[in-house]
Amino acid sequence: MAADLKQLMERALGDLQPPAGLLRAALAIEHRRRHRRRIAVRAVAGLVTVAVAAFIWGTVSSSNNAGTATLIPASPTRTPDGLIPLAQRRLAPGLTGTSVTGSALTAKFTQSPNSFGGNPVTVINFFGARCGSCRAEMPQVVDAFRLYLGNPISAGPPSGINFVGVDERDSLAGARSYVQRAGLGYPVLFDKDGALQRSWHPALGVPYTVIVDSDGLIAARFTGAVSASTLEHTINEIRLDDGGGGYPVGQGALGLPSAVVNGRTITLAVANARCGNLPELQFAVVSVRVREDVAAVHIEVIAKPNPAATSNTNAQRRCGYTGTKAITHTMITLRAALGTRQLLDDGGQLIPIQPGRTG
Amino acid sequence: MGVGKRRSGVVGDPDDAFEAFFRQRGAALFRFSVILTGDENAAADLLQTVLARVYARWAVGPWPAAPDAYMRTALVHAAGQFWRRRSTSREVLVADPPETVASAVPADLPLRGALLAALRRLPVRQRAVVALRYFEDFSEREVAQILDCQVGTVKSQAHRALRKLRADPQLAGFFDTVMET
Repeated sequence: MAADLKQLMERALGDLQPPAGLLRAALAIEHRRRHRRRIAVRAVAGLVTVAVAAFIWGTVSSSNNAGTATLIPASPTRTPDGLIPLAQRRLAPGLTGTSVTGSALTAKFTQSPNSFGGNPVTVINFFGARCGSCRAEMPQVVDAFRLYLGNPISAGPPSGINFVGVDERDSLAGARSYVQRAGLGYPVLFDKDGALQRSWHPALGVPYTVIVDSDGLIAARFTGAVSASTLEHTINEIRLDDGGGGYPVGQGALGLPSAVVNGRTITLAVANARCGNLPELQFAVVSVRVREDVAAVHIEVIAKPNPAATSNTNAQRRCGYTGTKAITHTMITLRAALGTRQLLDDGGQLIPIQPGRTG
Repeated sequence: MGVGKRRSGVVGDPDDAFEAFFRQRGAALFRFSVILTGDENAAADLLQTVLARVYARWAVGPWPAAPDAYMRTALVHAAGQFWRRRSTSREVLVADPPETVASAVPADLPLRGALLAALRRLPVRQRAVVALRYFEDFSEREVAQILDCQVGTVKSQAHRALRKLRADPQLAGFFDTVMET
């Protein structure tokens, strides 16, 4: 009975084979699942990797007596757009090439651990004159450049912000005329086949913007178009992380008052120095960053529109926000952070903060 | 990437080892799955799912002492879940278009259709007993172990399954021919 059933089943199936590609499909399922998990694990492992990379990097840079470290051959980790936490920053590769005007350009990013903003923060904007979103983005980059009065790449003063453009996959004539027309006041490298971007992982195309901090580390990256206010905010954050004053000092109309809050010394830094020069604007203290590792508590100051002024739109755009809601919101942040509504300036004068009534 | 280092007995790339295993045992496992499910397509789905699951395990940990038996057990357990999940939308398939792939052992396609149809009419558990006890020739004790039940249960399930297959009008003729040859 059992024997004939077995015989029957074998006869029915013969040497029936599994469908072709079954194993490959099965492995693909598992690989995909594993890949998804790996992304999550990477987020955690990233910190460890970077710690190791930093160690290797330290070794590399100390063996290089010039102090110029080479790119860390770490596994490429995809980091999200925007500011990269200090511990996860990697050394920037250099930039070497010919500018659209035909002069040779070289940028080296060196590690200078003890420098107090020893190297200029550098903004590198990869674009193509023929790419629509790059052209749309360009006025914003130029705006940010003008805000910081960008300096030439190799001769920037320590406190300055360097801007470099990289025009890729373009004709030289087209690149030249575009750079002129768009009013790019900073050096622009010409990179015919887009080879330069490859070392700036992840090279995903244009527009792509990278900011290198004063230690020569990639501190922020933006894939796709970036706004002037985002650039500005990020640059300010990077300068703050550098351990310096954070914001361009002495350029604003307000100067830099200090304040004492709950026994702490507070430096009021002007975030949007340029906004201070615009007559139609007033200033308001809107947010506070408390950094225990830095002696001072930094207060971000941004401009708020003067209700009496007739047109604030342009100024508001330049200062990186619109409307009054943002101010009210950050005001509340300030109160929560300090537990007080009183800020004193240098001369012991009260800086009034009136949440909800600033707009 | 760096997985599979801890695997004992098998060296090299985990994918290679797994592929070698599949090349050797894949066809037999697939036929077992066909009996287990009573349907070629469902068998392919089942086998693929289980392969992915088992591969995940074997790629990082040690391989079991008897990978073949491990696979069969995994298939039986997954088949239960597989049909449970699909119980509401279970398709009853009609005769498959015959495979055109040349076979070394010519299969009796009408018999296959009848047999699989009859198997599909059995409950999952009885099909599992048929697959393990009569197709794979496991002992009743081993079947009980795999199905995690009493030996008595295996006996009764096997008995019922056989009775049903015997009584199947489509299969009846084939049983006779087997007896004759």
